[in-house]
Amino acid sequence: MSRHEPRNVDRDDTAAARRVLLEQVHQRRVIVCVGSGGVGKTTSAAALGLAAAALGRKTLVITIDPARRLANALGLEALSHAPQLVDSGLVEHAARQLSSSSPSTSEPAPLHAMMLDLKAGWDDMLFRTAPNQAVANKILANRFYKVLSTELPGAHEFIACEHLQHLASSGRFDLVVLDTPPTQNALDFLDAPSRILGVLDNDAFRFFADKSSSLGLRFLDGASGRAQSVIARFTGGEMLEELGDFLVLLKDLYDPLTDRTRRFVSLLEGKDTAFVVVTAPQPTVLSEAAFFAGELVRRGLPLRAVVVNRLTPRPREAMATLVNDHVDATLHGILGNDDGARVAAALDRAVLDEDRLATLEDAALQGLTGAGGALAQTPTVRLPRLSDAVHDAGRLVELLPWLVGTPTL
Amino acid sequence: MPARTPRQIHFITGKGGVGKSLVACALARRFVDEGDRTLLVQVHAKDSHAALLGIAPVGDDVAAAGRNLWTVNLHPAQAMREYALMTLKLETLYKAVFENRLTKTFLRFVPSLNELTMMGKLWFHAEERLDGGGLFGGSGQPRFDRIVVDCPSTGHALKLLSVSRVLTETLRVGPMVEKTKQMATVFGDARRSAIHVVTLPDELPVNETLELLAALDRDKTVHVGHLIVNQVMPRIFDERTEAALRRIPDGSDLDAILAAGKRRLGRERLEARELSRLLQAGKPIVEVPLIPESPLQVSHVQRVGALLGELP
Repeated sequence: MSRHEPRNVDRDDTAAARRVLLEQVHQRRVIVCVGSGGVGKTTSAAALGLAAAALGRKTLVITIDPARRLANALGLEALSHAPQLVDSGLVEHAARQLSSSSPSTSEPAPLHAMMLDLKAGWDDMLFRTAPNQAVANKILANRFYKVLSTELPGAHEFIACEHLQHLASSGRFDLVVLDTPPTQNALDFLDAPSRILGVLDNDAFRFFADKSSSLGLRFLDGASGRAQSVIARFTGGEMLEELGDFLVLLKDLYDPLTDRTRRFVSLLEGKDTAFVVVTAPQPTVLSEAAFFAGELVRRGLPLRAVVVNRLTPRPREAMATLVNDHVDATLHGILGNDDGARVAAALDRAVLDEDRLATLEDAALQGLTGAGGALAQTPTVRLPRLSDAVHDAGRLVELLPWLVGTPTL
Repeated sequence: MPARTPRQIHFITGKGGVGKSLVACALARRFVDEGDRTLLVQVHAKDSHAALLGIAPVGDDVAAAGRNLWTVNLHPAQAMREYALMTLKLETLYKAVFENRLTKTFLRFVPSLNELTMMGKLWFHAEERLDGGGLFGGSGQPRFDRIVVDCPSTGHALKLLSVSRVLTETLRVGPMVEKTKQMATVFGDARRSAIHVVTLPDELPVNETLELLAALDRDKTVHVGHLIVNQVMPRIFDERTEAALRRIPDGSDLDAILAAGKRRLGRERLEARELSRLLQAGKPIVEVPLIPESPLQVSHVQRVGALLGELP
């Protein structure tokens, strides 16, 4: 960073917030990055994971986003469902970058990254939880299994939490960082466990269990007999039969799934976990972040830090120069009148635009702080918009001091 | 230039945070200002249209929000109820069947049911007539000249639009499949419906846009209209100005200003590169310049609406 980089992203409270974020990277077993789409959530998750590995913790970063941005950010070609080792050179580079501000006594540790494939994730869990191989295979073969694993509201989020818990307790990693799926509604993620369990309603399954499986969907007999014919008019009759068979098969999964859910919910609520809300300085995204932060707190989930990405640098010095100095004369002297005038006009506009954007962003952030609430009360790290997008590994390292270290101005 | 046939249905999609709602509202605003009866739709969203258009909060029912403007926020449960009633015609029967807890468990497993019912509601409004006619008869003027749909994120939009194919594959036959086939004649007609993709001039959003366009081309369920590139930095550095800038030596008291100029130049060049990648998709492009003012200002929405003037 040159000495002309922004000052507005280096306020005192930001320095304190960086120390808070550093603590999370040092101490937690799980960090969950949440936020709206397009705010740099994946980049932040990758950077936190990289920082942790640089400080000596065996770390895994999980994304659910099929876009290649996590792979690119970590210098990998592509990600797969199996954790993949990131080049140790990158982690060492990160360790050097952080060494001045966060001296670590540990050697850098391995960093892994993976992309959770939802279908494969459900398959994994199915074979882990089904009473036996035969039941698992039967479920796998039913066409409604695809609906369960990919289409049910909350299916993505549920399997992400389940895998998070599974991997965090596998003993392979000190820290697992989750880049949450881009949720249409931020609440989907938090509601996933109860929604999936609501679907696999215990009473409904008991009901099936009481009947012999050959009865299929005849649960609609008797009092509800009319219901069956009505639904058949709606969906077709053939589908009812097969779906009935499927629900009967699933009843064996109810208890293991409830157990899994209880485990990941207690992990997420506990002291080993940090939720980090990632956002950007635009009014619409910020108000979503504020809403989400409030919901996290209301549900007793540990919101520990906020990251505001991509702030426009406030060009204080440049503004002062524009106002006080003889910029035009100097430029005309160097470039001649014609080019001098062109460049003077362009620079004038560039500086003024930056200043206006910075003012707008400040106002958006201040409006939020003024409004109070969970977001305003959480330590907030502010990161500058780097002049190029952070898609490659080298640029990711550049972000680290702004996130968990001490940026040199 | 030949007279353009106004297209009735406009889906707006793109990844989160690119300004879909801004574009949807701006397009609706333009249609309204041109005197078209316009229905502006959000799909199960946290209402952002009220703030963008300066209107009352948008609810689950279609409601007038000003001269020529109607708004609605589609809700799956509500759409489902309306859809079921359309099929069953009897409220009491609906309650007996659809509000039964076991049925609810069952219905959650019906593939794409949410998407189907929401598309069904759009279909219903697209076919509505001023004289009260609609899907079940009537041939008067359409109730809505224009329907603008602010789709959820990219993936969800694809799911909405591919509901017909998915259902046909999973269920093969049945009443739901029949319905989607009828819908496809409306949403798949390029003269009547199109999807517009909103994006930003940045590498990742452009990658995703190109992937989405490829998926839409494969699916062929809806005609791809325009690409709308939001927040494009106005170009202040042409080649000559850039060359002149680079002749200025470092180390003068102009350094702070030069640094700002170079940041701007870097961003303009990056954006130009991304725009040229988008051009290769071969779709018409509308650029919306980055305007350093709050996007929530009504004047901003109006300005963007004017830029969308070329969408038929």
